[in-house]
Amino acid sequence: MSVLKKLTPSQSLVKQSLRGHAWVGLFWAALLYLICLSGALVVFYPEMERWEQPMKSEYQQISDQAINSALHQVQADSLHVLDSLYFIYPNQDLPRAHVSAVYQDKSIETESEWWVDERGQVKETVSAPWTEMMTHLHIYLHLPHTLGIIIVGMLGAMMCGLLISGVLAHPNLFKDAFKLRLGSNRHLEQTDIHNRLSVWSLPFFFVVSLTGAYIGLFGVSLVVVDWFEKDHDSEQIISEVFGGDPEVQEPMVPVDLAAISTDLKQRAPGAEPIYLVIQKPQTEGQYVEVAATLPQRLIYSEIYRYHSDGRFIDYQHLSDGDVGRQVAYSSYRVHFGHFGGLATKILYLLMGLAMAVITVTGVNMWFEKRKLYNRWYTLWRGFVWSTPLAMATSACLGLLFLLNPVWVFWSALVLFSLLTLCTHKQVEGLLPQRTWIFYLKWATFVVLVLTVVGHSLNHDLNLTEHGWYWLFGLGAVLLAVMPLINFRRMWRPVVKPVTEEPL
Amino acid sequence: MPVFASYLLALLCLVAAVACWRQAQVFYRQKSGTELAGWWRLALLVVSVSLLWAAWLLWSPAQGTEFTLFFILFHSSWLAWLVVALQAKVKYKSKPVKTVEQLSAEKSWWYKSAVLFLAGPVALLVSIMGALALSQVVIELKSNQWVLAFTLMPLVWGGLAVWLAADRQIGRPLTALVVIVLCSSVVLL
Repeated sequence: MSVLKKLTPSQSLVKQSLRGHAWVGLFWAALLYLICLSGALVVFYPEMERWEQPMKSEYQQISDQAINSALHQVQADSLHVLDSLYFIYPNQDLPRAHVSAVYQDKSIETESEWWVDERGQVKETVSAPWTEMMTHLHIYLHLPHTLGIIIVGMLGAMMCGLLISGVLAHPNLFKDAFKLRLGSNRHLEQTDIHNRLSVWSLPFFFVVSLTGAYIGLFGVSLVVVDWFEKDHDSEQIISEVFGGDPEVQEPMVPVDLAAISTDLKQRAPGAEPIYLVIQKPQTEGQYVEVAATLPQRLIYSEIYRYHSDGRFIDYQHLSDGDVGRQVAYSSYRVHFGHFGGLATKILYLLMGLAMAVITVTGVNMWFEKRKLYNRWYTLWRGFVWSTPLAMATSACLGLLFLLNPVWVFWSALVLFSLLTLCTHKQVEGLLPQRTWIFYLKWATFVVLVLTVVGHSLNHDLNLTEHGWYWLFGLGAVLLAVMPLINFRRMWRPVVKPVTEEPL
Repeated sequence: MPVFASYLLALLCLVAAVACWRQAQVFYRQKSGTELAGWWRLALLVVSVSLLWAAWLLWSPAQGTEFTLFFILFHSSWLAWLVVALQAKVKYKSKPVKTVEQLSAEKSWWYKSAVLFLAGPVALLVSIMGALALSQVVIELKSNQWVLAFTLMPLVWGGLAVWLAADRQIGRPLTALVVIVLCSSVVLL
């Protein structure tokens, strides 16, 4: 008992922490909500991409001859000088391969990614604009990339601050660890949901916020570190941390993929290739890199480098290099939950949604504590429930009517949020606010059902042969059903609740 | 043991560990000052740690130590939520609430803008300097120093931003910023 008492922060520290926590949280709440909600969903981005652009024949294995054929075809058809040429292997999440060309002239804006069939024939262009909209919302907030990633990284740092201040502002951390009061007092209800969700998932929030901030702020940090480091510039720092590129100067020969494959299988029997890249193709500096996951490791990959004729050069020591290098290269999988299979992805989805709920309940608490029912609170509630509807609408109009998903998303978000303002109690609105929000939730569900059915019919996906697409669509629809359920009824189903509002 | 079975067993161990924490917390809330209650709490904590260890042993052969660490941390969370949900109390009496439309402003816009500027770009620069200096003091190898600095920086920045927003006496966090800059400069320059 005495140890716990000693760990309890003083009254003044609690008050101060609560103040800082509230102001930082309120200031960034809207952006944090967008990041958390989109982040929870884009854990499944490979599956989203697969669902958005269905293909009749899918496969998880591809021969070296087929890879060679696809790479040759892209090189032969390319009108511009290539800087590198990627082949991304099929896997369980996305059972089809694709090739990607990076041109020396970065200003060239042309198609650069194509799907490849099992025989190595280059097919249609990779095009998943809605998935891209969702991933770019999470990574850049649809801002110019450099600015966007810095702001998102900053939000990660602010979340770290919110985490610290949240713990300090919670003197009854142990005492109330399992307390959840739902029902009559909305302030208490929101507080309990906010505190219980956040306290029990501190490790997850800490890891995800920190890795997010690290990924987002890497560039900014690098510039400042470069300024202070007299002996190293940015490129040298990156080389030191992640390993440098080999210098190759040999007569150009065709890439011998069979030799590379054989060597890799002997060198790292458990390694599963993710992608292969021909660097500086058709020059004397040409060499091949194979990035492969290693079993039971969090590092994104180990990278094995080969001469074009299949002779091994070296590997990047991402799996057994300095601790810093291994930690830095593990941040991606830890942030996106791409380890441990489908169970981990579902876990990340749930925890990510919990983060969004924490953001929402945090703001609600602030308003409810002050009994402040003004236009800002109405707008906030509208924004919260318009976001999933805007995401669903952008999917619907983007997939079925080929409209730009980014424009649709922001237009729908602004429109529905502003319409919610009409339901503010002082305005002679057509609908009470609660009913309007209920309609927003229903609209999300209906739009999503229309999208799933329309998209499947558009691509002629029948239930028996393409069951995965329907299953994925059903999963998305089930997510939209959740806000329609009044979870309070589950505890006391015999008593009629006064409030009909779901949690 | 099949991977699926060991996964399930490890989850069951975590369920039991969370149940132990719940029971220990019940004893804590009862405020029973007897020596026996204290021993019970200790025993429950020891049992829960043993259960976590059992989960570790079940997961690690098939998943490796890196995955296992995160599985234990993250799966405990949702299992604890389940226990919290099962303990939930629902009241259906709602009282009418007197609401307000406006609050009196506490600080001027100038003050708030200044705090925003300090908590934003200024705290960012200070946090990078502080993190880089600290990493140079505690670690020898350059590449590890940089990674530690990149990792520490968001924590320092977030902490400083919240402190600047929290403190009624802005002088205190400002002093901390200046001290960090001075100490870091000694190490870095």
